[in-house]
Amino acid sequence: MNPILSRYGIIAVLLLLFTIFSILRPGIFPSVGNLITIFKQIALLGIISTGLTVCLILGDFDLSIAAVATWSGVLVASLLPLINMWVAIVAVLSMAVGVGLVNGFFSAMVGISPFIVTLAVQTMLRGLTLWYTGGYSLYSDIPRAFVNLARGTFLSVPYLVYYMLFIFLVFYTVINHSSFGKKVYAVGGNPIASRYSGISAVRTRLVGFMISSVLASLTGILLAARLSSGQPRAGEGLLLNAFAAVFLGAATFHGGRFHVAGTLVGVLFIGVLNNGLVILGIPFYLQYVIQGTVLVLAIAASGVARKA
Amino acid sequence: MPRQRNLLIALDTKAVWITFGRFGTLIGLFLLVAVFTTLKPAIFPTPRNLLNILNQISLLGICSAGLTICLVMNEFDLSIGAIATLGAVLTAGFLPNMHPVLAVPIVLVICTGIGLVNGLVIATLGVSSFMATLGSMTILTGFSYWYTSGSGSILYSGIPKGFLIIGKGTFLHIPYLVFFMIGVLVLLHLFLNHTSTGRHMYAVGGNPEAARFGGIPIQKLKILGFMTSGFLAGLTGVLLVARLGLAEPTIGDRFLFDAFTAVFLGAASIKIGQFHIIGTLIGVLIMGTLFNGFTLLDVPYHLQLVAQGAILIAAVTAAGLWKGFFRQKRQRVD
Repeated sequence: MNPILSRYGIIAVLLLLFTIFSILRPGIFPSVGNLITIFKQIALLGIISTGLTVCLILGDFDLSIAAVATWSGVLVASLLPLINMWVAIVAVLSMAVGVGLVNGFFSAMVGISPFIVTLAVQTMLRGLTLWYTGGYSLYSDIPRAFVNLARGTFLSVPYLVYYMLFIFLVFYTVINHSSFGKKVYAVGGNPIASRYSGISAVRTRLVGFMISSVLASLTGILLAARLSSGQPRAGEGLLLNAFAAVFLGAATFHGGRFHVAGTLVGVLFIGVLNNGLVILGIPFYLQYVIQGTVLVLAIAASGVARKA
Repeated sequence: MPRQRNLLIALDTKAVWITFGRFGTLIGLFLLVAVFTTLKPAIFPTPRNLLNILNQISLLGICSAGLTICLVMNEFDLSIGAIATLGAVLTAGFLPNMHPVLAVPIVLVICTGIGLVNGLVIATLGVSSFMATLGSMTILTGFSYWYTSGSGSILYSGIPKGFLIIGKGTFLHIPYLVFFMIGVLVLLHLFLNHTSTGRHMYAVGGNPEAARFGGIPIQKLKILGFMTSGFLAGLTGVLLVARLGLAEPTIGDRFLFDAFTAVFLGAASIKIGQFHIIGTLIGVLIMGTLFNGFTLLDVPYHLQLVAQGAILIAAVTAAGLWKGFFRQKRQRVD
């Protein structure tokens, strides 16, 4: 009983939430249209959380993801009027590789706690974004093709959902079924043992930070496309939600271990909760209260079950 | 002979690294003071402005001190910003109908109680402090928005003049708020370094296994730490109202990242890698000097953010290099 609760506690709570919302709003919540909406709402959170998952598996924090996303959105919006859309996107993603390298250099090579490094990088990027935009949104000359990247649909499912599922699939495969994934878990589990078995912890962690930065940057670019503008505070809400999703995921299936499939569950959990609360017409401040309570209770429930 | 020479060189560089690493943040602080003094000789180094800096950092100092206690035990408290906001909002909400002598203790008890709940969830349910305080931060933010929603989200009416004196009054030209900060820092410094409970907290942070075998009540200490942190964050909120004469539901948010930056700067000072109150004071002073000097020089806020991040990385890198130097030495001996 107990191991079942600890493995499937989060999923049980997710199903419970789903049932409650379906009973309370039978005509609206469980419809196909609304399910697609839920997936659309979590798509960006899903992409950024996948990158964070890789970092957390490695035992690293990345607090700079939201700032990277915001900065990328602003940067791409400013480049779009000047150069070809794809060139702009590639340029912004390469910038993100650079940020990941900086994070990785100071964390893995110099040996500073990644919490501090990414906190500092986050502060600097926030300053950079404010300086670059002067605090205003950039919305002139955004091409339709760019906006369409986020707003378009295929078989009435938004492109964003396909991106998220694709990225989940890629990283699920890479983390669980490739030698790189084994290295990631080895370094995160026991860095000293992994060094003796010939795995370069430094290189793996560098790549981890780069993945996290690039996926954050991609999230920012798609966010800019969805908003058809680069806004200097667009990505701020993503940081805490991404951490909540990944930690919820770690409490699923394998208790306490970060993994990509769990993160998908965590992201879905947050999506269903937010969507349901909005559909019930609950005021936004009560939504905060309920989100925080459910988050702590869900994690406590699976944690207690594991201990018992 | 050559071996001896090598040793001498090693000692020399070692001395340099030690100074550079341990006192890097202090050197950085003096550099900042020197630069601002040179650029604004008539304004920056005046006693009035220096007191002004102390006044500006007083609230950050108080809530950073609380965070220091949690970090000493290797626990995060992400809820301090939200508790400060809640403390401010409740104070501004209570004061029109209640005497400050009654209102302030009630607010402080509530905030300490939130710290108690944080501590209980972490110590007894085994939820990681990161997640637990992330959750309580979300809950409290919602509560502060709810509490202020009836009044256009800013509470400012009916706050008695007598209460505002706490935030604006001075004694011997020194603002009351500075006394508050110094009082809190001295008390916590003495507590952490000169009481057995404080030493036990360091033991919990350093080696929890050994601490448990040594019979240290880890759970109680953690709960105590989160209560202290909650109390001081609440005090920050109360004093925020006394200083500004209003409260709104984002008023304390910036204390979260600022306090973390200050405390980490502190951990890169003197006792490298260890969180301690004197270090936290140095960190808070650096942030205050930076803010004050940049404002005098008309440097925009966003550049201040960039400088803040750069200084944090530079300070910790300097401290880390010093530690790394010894680690390499030891490995080579092995």
